[in-house]
Amino acid sequence: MKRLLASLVVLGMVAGAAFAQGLTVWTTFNNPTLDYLQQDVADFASAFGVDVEVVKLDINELKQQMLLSAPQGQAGDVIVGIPHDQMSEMAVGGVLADLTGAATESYLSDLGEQSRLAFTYNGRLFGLPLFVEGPALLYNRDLVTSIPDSYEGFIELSQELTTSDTFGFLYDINNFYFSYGWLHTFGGYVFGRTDGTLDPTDVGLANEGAVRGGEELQALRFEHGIVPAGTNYDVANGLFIDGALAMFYTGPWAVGQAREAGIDVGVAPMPSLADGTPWSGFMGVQGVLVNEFSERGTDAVNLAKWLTRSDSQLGYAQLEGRVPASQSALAQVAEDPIVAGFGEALLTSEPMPNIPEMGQVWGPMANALGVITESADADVEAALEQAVREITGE
Amino acid sequence: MDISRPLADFLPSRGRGGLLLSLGLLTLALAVAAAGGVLTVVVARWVAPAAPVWLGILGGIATLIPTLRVIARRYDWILPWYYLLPALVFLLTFTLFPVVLTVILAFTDYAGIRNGQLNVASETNVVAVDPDRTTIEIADARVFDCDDLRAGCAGVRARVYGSGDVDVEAIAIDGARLELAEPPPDDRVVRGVDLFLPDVGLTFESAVARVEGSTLILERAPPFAPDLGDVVLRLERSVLEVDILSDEGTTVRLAEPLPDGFAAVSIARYNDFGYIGLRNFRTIFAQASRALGPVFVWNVAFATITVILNLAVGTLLAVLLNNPDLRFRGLYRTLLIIPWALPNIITIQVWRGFLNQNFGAINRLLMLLDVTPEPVNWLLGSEWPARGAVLLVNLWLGYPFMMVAVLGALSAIPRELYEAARIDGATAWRSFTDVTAPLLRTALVPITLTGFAFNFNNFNIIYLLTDGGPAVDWGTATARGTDILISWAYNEAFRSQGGYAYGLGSAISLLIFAITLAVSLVNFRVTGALKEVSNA
Repeated sequence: MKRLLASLVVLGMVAGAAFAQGLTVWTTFNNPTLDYLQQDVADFASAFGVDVEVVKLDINELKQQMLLSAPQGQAGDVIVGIPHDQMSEMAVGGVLADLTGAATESYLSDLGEQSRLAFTYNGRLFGLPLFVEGPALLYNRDLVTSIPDSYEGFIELSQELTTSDTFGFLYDINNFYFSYGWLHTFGGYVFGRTDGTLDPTDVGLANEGAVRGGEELQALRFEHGIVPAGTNYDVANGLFIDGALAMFYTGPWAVGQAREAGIDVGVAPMPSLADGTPWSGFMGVQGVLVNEFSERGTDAVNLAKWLTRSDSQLGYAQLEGRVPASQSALAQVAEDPIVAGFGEALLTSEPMPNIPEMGQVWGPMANALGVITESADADVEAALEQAVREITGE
Repeated sequence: MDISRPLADFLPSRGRGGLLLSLGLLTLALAVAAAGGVLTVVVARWVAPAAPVWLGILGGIATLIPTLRVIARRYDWILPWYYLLPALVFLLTFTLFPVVLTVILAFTDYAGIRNGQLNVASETNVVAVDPDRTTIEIADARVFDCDDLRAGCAGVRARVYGSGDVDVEAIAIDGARLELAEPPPDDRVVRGVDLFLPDVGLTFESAVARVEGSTLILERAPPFAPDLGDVVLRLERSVLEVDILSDEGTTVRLAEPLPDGFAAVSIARYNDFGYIGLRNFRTIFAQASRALGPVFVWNVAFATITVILNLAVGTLLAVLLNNPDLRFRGLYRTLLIIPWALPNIITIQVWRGFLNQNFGAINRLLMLLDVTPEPVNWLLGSEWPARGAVLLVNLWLGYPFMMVAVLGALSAIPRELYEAARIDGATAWRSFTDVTAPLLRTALVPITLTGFAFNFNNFNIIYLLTDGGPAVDWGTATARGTDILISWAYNEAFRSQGGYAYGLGSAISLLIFAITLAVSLVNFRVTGALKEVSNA
């Protein structure tokens, strides 16, 4: 249904874009960040005298729409807020402008190392980083005073807090973006590295560690009884907003809504394993990209730079605890407890691979997670091995 | 038209030849019109480069009308055939074109990132150019990434870039007039300029409208004061398109030599896609035990059971409603048709709610009646409840059609037959099996066949109700518990391999066509639906 609506929106937009004179921004942001972006864009429009229209797209639609409609001249000129793992497919598909020349030394040197590398593919910069994000443990401070030091303690606390009125811990378990935390912390990985570059033929999602992680996911539901069947993102998010969920493994985008609903939100990294292995999930960098086929290329690049200046990044940090890519902006918000919580979790996180082959990982892994969490005696190893076969195409 | 002439003058020669001649002339007229349209756009673009494309349509129509007149003067009889022209246009656009495209794409590797566009990410520096000017050394073969293509880079188009940007200093700026310390190099075109704006801490880019000596007229004045010491001139990159003859490691041989004086700086290749023979089909059959096989079996079962269930329920309700002694017949009939009248999209969403494991009405009812101790995980558990749910919802959506069809057929059965049966002492069941059923058969066979064909490719219900799920351990990410052939093709084409794998999706579509054709032929043979046609 969502896809259908998104397609209709895109269709309308395409019709609109054909006649529009100014720039069109495609964004995946939701409120409150969408409002903030609109304001920032309006400031640019009045300072530079360029009309800009902001259009909202579904995060799962944007890449495909770009690949399909950019060469026809019917896509947005500037793309705001797309995780870096989707960048290289668009770059290889030829729809992203090379921004290597557009980024100045001072801008680049202010960026964190990870942020810059995230949008660098084949030695070229295809996006200007905006902020860094990744899942961490959001908790309701009215229900939880402090997060235990160990994963085992965290499981116990979750069980204690699961009562007739509240849930202790929930998250979107069938989503690989989140569940990678379990697979990776226990020893799995997406792509191995040879000579420092990602090797798409070396997929570590069915190795010993990944299988242990998968079994732990199964145990969450069937042994510990804390992530019941039927849990998806909307259910968990809804319960957290209603104050009926104590701990929620999700990213910064959930903070704004929860705060608006009056929840006292705390953020902490997931606790380490008993042997001291720190928790490590995915880290994503969101940035601003420019359409290679934009008819107003220079204006589009100006807007991209405007939207990623450090003042602009501050706003996202203050709104939802998105960790700024700019080091000078980060220094100004480092004291903010939400930013600090996510920042701490990101220290041990693994950047999502930014090679085009990453696009083939999501579907098979979601399928494998579906199989694993469906019943207590599903064969974790077989499910993961099948997923890896589909990813590598063997 | 001269109406005093005999009628035969207005008819084409009879038989197949006449038909082909007529269709050929119509197609010719359309081809001429298309050429006229293209020509209009080309000429308009030549006169004014910003000319809109829709001028082509006007040009096409303007060409079509005189062409039709010319043809009509030569062949009098063609006039009535012109009524077919719009139908022919639609047939070509919406049926023939997609079919031809699908068939062609099924034998290519066309996909999201093999789309024929320039691969911006493959740009790598040119390290050295051989004196023969066709062999060049590139900096990084991994970046150029020929391995990703069908047969390396041989025959693939590449773009070679020359020159780059230069740093200069300016002395003054007044609005959009930027005065440089020295005039820009006169043998190169200045495309744009970068100015650093210290107030907002970012670099401003502007295109350059004109160069007057050492003064640049910018297309857009910088909104804040720029730093005059830090100006970058963006010079037009000279670009050369050339085919690659062969590649080996970092050595690339071009099909034609680079022109003298062209300083190659970097090179990027195009994303080539092309003919790969039967590879798509091999891929499909290689995973037949996980995808094609189980999906096909479930697809046939789904269509067959749906038709049988819908027909049974439809007939039962129709027979009950057909009883003239029933009070409020009209009301019941109206109520029972409602599911058919409501839009599928809404009804299926409501059913999704009903089938929700924890909050849905169906599980609540089942538990209230003690049918099941635990709530059934209808849509996300194993494949069996999900398949049951699909059949149930499809029954709800489909029985009214069958009911209406049977009602119509029933009203054609004379009442006297039932009276006669009653006088002969037949029970209600006997009169149904021996009177109603045989007389309904002729009316129902075509409806059943259409129902089967429709449900065989019933994408809506699968996509909207379960989206092909749940995940199953015997399937793949694109062929899951309730996926039918058409939804599997959709998943392969639009949801795998970086968004869209048109080649593979087209191959599956061809396969579905073959399967549907075979199933239909068997159907027709078994039911004898084609008998009369073949006798003629």
